[in-house]
Amino acid sequence: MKILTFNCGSSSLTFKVFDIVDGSPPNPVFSGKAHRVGVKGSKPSSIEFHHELTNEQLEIPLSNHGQAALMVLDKLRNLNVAVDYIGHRWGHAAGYFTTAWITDDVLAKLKSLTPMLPIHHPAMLKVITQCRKTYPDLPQYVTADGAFHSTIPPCAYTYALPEDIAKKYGFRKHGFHGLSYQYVVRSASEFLGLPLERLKIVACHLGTGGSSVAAIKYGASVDTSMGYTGLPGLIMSTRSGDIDPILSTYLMANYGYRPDDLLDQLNKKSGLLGISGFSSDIRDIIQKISDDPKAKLAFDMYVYRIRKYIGSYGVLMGGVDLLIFTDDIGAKNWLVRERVCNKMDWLDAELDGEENKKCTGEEISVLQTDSSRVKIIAMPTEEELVICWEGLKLLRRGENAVTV
Amino acid sequence: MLLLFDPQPPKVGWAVFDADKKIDEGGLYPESNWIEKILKQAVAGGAVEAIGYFLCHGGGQIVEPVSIISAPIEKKIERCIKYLPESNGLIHTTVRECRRRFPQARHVLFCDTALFSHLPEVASTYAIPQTLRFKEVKRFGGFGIYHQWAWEKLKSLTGTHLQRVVSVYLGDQTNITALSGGRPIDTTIGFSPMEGIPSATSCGDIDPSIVFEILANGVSLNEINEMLMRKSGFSGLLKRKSNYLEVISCADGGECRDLLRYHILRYMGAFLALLDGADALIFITDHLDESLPFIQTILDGLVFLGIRIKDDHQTGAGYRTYTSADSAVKAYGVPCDKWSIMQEEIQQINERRTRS
Repeated sequence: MKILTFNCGSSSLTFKVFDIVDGSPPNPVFSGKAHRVGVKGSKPSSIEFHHELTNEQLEIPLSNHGQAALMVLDKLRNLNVAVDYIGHRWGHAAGYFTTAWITDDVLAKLKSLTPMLPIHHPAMLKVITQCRKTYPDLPQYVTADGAFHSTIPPCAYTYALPEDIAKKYGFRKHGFHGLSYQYVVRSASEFLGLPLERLKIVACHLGTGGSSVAAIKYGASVDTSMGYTGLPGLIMSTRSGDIDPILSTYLMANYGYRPDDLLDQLNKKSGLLGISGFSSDIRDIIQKISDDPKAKLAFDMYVYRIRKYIGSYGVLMGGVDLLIFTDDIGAKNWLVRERVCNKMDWLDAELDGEENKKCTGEEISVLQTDSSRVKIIAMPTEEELVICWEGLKLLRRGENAVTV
Repeated sequence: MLLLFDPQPPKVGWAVFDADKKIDEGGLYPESNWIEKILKQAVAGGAVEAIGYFLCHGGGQIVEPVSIISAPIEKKIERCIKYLPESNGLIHTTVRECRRRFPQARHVLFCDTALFSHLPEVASTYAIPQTLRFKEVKRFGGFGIYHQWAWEKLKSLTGTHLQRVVSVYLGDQTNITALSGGRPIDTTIGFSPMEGIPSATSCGDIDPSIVFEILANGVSLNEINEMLMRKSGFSGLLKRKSNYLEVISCADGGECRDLLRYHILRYMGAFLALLDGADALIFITDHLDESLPFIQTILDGLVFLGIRIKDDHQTGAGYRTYTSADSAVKAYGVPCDKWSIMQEEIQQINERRTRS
């Protein structure tokens, strides 16, 4: 049996085919990633495929995620890899499901959830629609990203809004990147041989599009930086992260901005792009730190906000035992880690500068010095494997539809 | 005689001092003859020598914490109205009225955002497009008068090293500032007092998308402002008018207190990270005695930093010490009162002017 998993980032599409043989862990037989999908940057978009011993990378214009998904399906057909199920990561299920088969009803529900994650959900829907169009008979499922954060306590998930308003709209912190956190905390604790039930972990999921931080105490998420939607928290590629809630009404009332235009600016033109003025990609920005003050400010603010969240979560948990950096930027960018971990004596954390620079981010790397009480780890995330696990759970339950 | 004004929308709060003695205080709607009412109520002899005004939001216009009001400054106050229309509007009306009535008096402006006018760029900038930032959008902060006053007072009273300080104002509008050598490096209040820690009536940090979803349901901008500013916070959660003292007494079963404590610890952690630890934590409040159990629960959350709490709090002149001599981080409580802070400051100005 083979499961194809799709994982949409705001500017990327990661995919993997797992071969499932009873009694063995899922075995990846095909994988790849589309980069800079729909991004205007200095580099063109590209897609990479890995199958058996062949690795292929193509530079190709990819204006949307549906187009990237079609390339993957075509590639699999050419390679004669037949899949039995397709699993998709879904961003925000607002408590309606954790993992569900995609029926017409579920699809309608997914469409209604678009505003909660206005960058990702349309991209995810494009991939789902493309797959249903190409393979109408193949069973597909979605697994929701936020379920991991269901353990966050009321003091952290409650917004101090009028009680009836919060209830009417369902405003509360939901959080995202749950699949990634689920994977990294489990893998890191196994790797270190330290039981999850005894660890206070701050995990930084720093992606090329979206980023967040989570506090995971004794195995359960107790706080995270994203909120009701994926807009608040860290400074992201094009999202503003935390801002004064009144800024929007001030700009609309005094300068005549239209709501949809302003929200679009906060989601798609802010963050690193908004500060630097030239790129939403932290790697482009790092290239220009020394000669462009705006690039330097963008980089400094990006690091500054991460440091603040690590401090917050350290105090909320009464200390930190393990600090994890993951996803494309977290695992692969030594400079970001170096600046974030600079001067963390108060938490008893110290990064080993040499080890940190050597780390490629391809596998789990331990990066703290001998005298650091806090363990520091950089590692790739594997949301696809969690999507696969969730699919297997769904199959075991024998359900073929979920009431929405 | 000294007259002091503080906007407490929809009223203007006032106090009358004779030398350093407060004679009377109250709150009035700024309607006809309201100044006469104050003068009549405050049975004080002598002419009005000085008048102090509290401006909550000086925006990019007023960057001096304390200044003598001249015609150009009055103009600037008018230009500040848009930052915080209700409060600033009230104070502008008051300044205009009093300058006309008391041309001989010294008019002193206290600006609560001024301390933060030189925040580092990383702290003051919002990650939004430049076209939006250029519309006077930055972190202006607030409560600068309190944080600066408490830091200076504690420094002179204790003679201790106050290099890295997390300064917490506890009250209806709890807020926190990170001070490095007495200069602020970051603060919880942002462009407006709405950002940061939920207050008695305002929401504090929320997902910025929320405003847009409410707006899409046909609620007007004014109604949203009113909702977030006046009908949220602890009053919104409890569905009735509430305040700091009620919240810390856990009249609701403690949920609001837990929420307040969570936000305080969250920001203290963020600022400890920026300062790489602290030499001292300062708690400033109008209600020091009542706040003691609450301050204790906050300090309990910071024990991992090597804080050692004493049972018998030493009461010094004008401050308290909560930690023992071997505590890695010191914690102090400073009682405050806005009128006294303003009065002390004006008295110092008078003395300086007399000397020179």
